[in-house]
Amino acid sequence: MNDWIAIGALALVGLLIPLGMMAVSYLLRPSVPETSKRATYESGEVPTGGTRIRFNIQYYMVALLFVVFDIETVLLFPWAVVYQDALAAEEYGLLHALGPMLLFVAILLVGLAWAWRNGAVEWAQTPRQVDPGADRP
Amino acid sequence: MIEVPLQQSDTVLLPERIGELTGLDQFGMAGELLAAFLAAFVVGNLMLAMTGVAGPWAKRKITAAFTDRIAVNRLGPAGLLIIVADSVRLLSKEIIIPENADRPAYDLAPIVVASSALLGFAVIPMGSGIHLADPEVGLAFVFAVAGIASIGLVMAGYASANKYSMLGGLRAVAQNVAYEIPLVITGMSVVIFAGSLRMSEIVAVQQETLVALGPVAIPAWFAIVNPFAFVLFLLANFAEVGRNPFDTPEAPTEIIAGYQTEYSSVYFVLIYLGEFLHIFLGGAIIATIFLGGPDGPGPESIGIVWFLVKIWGVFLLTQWLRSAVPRVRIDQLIEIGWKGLLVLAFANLILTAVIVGLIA
Repeated sequence: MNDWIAIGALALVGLLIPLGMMAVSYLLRPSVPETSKRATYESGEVPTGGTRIRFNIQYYMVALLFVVFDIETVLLFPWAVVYQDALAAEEYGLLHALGPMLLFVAILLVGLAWAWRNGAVEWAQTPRQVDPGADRP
Repeated sequence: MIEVPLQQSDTVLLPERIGELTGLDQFGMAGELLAAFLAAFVVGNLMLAMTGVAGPWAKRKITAAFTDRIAVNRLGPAGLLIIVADSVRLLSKEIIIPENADRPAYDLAPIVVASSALLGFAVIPMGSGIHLADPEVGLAFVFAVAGIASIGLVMAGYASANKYSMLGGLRAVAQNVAYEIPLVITGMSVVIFAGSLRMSEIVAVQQETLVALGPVAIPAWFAIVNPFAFVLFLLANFAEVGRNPFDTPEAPTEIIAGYQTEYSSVYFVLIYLGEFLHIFLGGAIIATIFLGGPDGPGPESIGIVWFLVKIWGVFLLTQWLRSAVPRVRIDQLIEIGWKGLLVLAFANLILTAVIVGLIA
């Protein structure tokens, strides 16, 4: 039995269950359209302005770092799997099994330290937040 | 070169068992597909039933117990029938779709959130033979699938065209970005011990006896072998599933309900179910890689009971934290993740590798 057939089957079931619930709900629920019922919720006030505006998402640098480290985890997984076999094998010692990985992680940790020093792993503050009194009279 | 042979696992999985029981295995490919579908149906509904109980009922009961109140107690024994009433009530609500909503994404988001969490259970060995699939890459698969949910949350946040939803969706990403790496790196320290990503092998390694204190044999659960990694993983997991003290994406006192502000009726149910499935998936991962999976005293056939006990233990812990621990601010959350947990996770990985290297 292929494992991926079963996983695909669960993916199918996982799609069918929500779709089934939506179908049941479609049959049960009422529809009472009224004016301004569909207005965007803003704590009961009339919504002001649009949502899709430009603003500082404040973790742009962190997201870039994430890509680097995410790829690193992918590259480390095969090493973690074969690590014990490599230790047991005659031709590899502790130094050969562990050394390259330590070097690899060290390079990335130096990168992290550099980013840390430059304030990249922080919630970026917009200038006004740094100086609250700047635009007040 | 070290040869790692690709092999099928030798555990008997649920689809095969169902195939044998119903005689479907004699019908070749079609029978195989049908047996897999039946098995997936069983697993999916088992998990849904559990979240169905946890969502409307257990959460209320637990929170009420922590805050010294009486929760649901009118319908059925201990108010259990509230589940039926709630599901009928929620499914028959009118659906209100905000006028600026980005339609296909708005409709797809609840499905993505719910089904991605459900898919993760495919590789979890639940004991008593309930184990859907056991691929070579089990643990990596579970992490990958659990990560899909954040796409659903971003879709929900963006497509609602609501400022609170948008903020909630962005916060969900910030949080997943900060805690995914510590989670995976800590999980990797378990892989170093087990020497495999296959879930059944990770469980099998933990069933060995670590120390025997007289008649009591302490098993080599990774939570006992490496408690530091266990604590790190628990913390990162709470952030990953967005529970206190890391529930900033929803933060009811700050941004209404985050990404689910504009969702009503069945869409709300799906997102809500997806979140509970996610908590249970997190609990299942913790139970499998740190608490020995279905391992426990008694015969092997009651493994599912021990497995459920462990999952509910993690669930109880999340609900306890929900009642007891304040929420961290979003900027603190980023700093805890990147400056604290990430560094500790790497320290744990390197220490584990060195210690395993020295012992072996």
